Amino acid sequence: MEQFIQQTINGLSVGSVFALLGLGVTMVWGVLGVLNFAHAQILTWGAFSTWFALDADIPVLPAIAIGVLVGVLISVALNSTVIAALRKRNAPEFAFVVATIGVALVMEEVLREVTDAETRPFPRDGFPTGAVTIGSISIPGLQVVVLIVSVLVMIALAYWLNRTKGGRAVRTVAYNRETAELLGINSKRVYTIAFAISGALAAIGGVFVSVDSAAISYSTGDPLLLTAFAVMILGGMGSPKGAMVGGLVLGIAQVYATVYVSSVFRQAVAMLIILAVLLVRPQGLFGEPQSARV
Amino acid sequence: MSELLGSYEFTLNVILVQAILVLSLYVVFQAGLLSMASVGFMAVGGYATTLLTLEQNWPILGGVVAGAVMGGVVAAIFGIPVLRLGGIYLALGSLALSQAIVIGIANFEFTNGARGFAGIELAVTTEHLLLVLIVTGVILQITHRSYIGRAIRAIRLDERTAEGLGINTVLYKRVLFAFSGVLAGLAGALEAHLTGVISPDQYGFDLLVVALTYMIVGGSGHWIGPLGMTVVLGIVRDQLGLGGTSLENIIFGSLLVAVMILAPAGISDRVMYRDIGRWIRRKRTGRGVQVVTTPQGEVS
Repeated sequence: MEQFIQQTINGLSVGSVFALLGLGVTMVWGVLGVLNFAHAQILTWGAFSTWFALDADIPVLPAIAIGVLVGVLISVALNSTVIAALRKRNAPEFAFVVATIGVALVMEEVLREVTDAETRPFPRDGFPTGAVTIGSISIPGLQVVVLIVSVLVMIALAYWLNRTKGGRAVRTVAYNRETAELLGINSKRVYTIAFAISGALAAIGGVFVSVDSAAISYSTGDPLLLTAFAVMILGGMGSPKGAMVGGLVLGIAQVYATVYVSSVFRQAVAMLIILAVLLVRPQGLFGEPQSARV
Repeated sequence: MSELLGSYEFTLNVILVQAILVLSLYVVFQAGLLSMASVGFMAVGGYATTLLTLEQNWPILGGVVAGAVMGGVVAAIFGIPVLRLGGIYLALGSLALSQAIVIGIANFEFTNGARGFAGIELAVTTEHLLLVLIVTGVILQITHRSYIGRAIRAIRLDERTAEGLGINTVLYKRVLFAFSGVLAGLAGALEAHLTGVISPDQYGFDLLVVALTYMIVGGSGHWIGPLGMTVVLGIVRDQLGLGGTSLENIIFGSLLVAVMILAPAGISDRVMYRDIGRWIRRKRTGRGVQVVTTPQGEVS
């Protein structure tokens, strides 16, 4: 029983990072319907910027801020060049998939050249290292911080999307861009804001993943892309609450799969969840049903 | 033919195998479905023939046929649930399916896990591959020009209207998906007997990206587009001598982005030629002159 509780807590720790990733994808896919395959590369570039900043003896918090800034800039640049050009031409939705796969390929290869394809140790100094111990169960301090950050981000996003003028503008654009324009909403600005938030969350997620594994390389983000999509699909499109719950469920599922089935099964969990959810409950746990999805 | 080609034979053979994989993607794409599952079916075909010829002592031809059949059967079975999805969700669902197949292969006992197999009998020659491509091309051309081909294009343009016109869209999509699986399985089986080695990591995301590039750049209008692009880009790639370097991937990635922006439907799409023709006409009539074109004049 004790082991079960400990594993559940481990799962929650893993899941809170997944939730952050899912929240980032929620903004551009769930809300605006753009499936961004370059999300994982934005994550890696953001985390690497933090690494470079730490390497230059910049304190932890400003270093993270630099990483986030780089994530935001790349994400906004991607939106205002490639995505905007495709939108202008009314490209079919798979065109966004293929074009962002191309962007991801370029970004990954450039980073590989810059870093000589090396895996570098990620310094943990300055990040919370201790563990919070309750009875015989211990929770690593870093995970507590990650969990708190992702819950705060989720609450902020949910509040912003549902209760503020800016958030409502985003949802209006998502619902129908032309109507939104007629209502006086600047849809270009809405896209920029959504991509900026997404880039920032990707970078934060990337930093946490790198600190957790104490290593970083040009391919750190690769396996996380499908994980982020799985979180999104499980939780439901455009729902911050769904992304949170989806992330935690996926984290717990992966840890249980490792412990109680086999470590092999862990990699397949995200894929199986994508398949199963799409087929059984395409709107996800908290999404609203959409006829277009099936 | 081997005397004629000399050292290029192997390179060409690899390109031709990729061409079969690209056609497998194209088969479903011509109905407007972006399926990323072909790489997984390719792995199924490759492992089917490897296991049968190495461990059951099947003849190679039997193994290759079994590989194609296995690819088709797996695609037909998984096609039933996966094809309920549409658009981007189909792309994601099929990508997940493909990854799940490859992860499964990498972890089962009977597939020898991540090590894979070596020492598969080599038998595939350029003639075999050309024969497969010609037969596939003939089948695709016959269907392209027939009622079936028009029905498939109708599904691409508007699935609901197609259904309203009495086209059994579900059946069409399932058959196309199964046929795509057959071609992918065939590509995998032929590749196994071409290179002699097989392991799960050769069916990664990289292969999918390369195949997608060829198919998308080639376009969805006619099968000759993707096929021609595979051969041309494959040879260009080989001649540049960039195989596997970062620069090659950067060029590939940029190409994907550029084609998607300039010609979202690929280079075998009629609309692009119409636009180019209109652009040339506008140039000829000179600047400042207002050209009035009637909609009727643009019918391609």
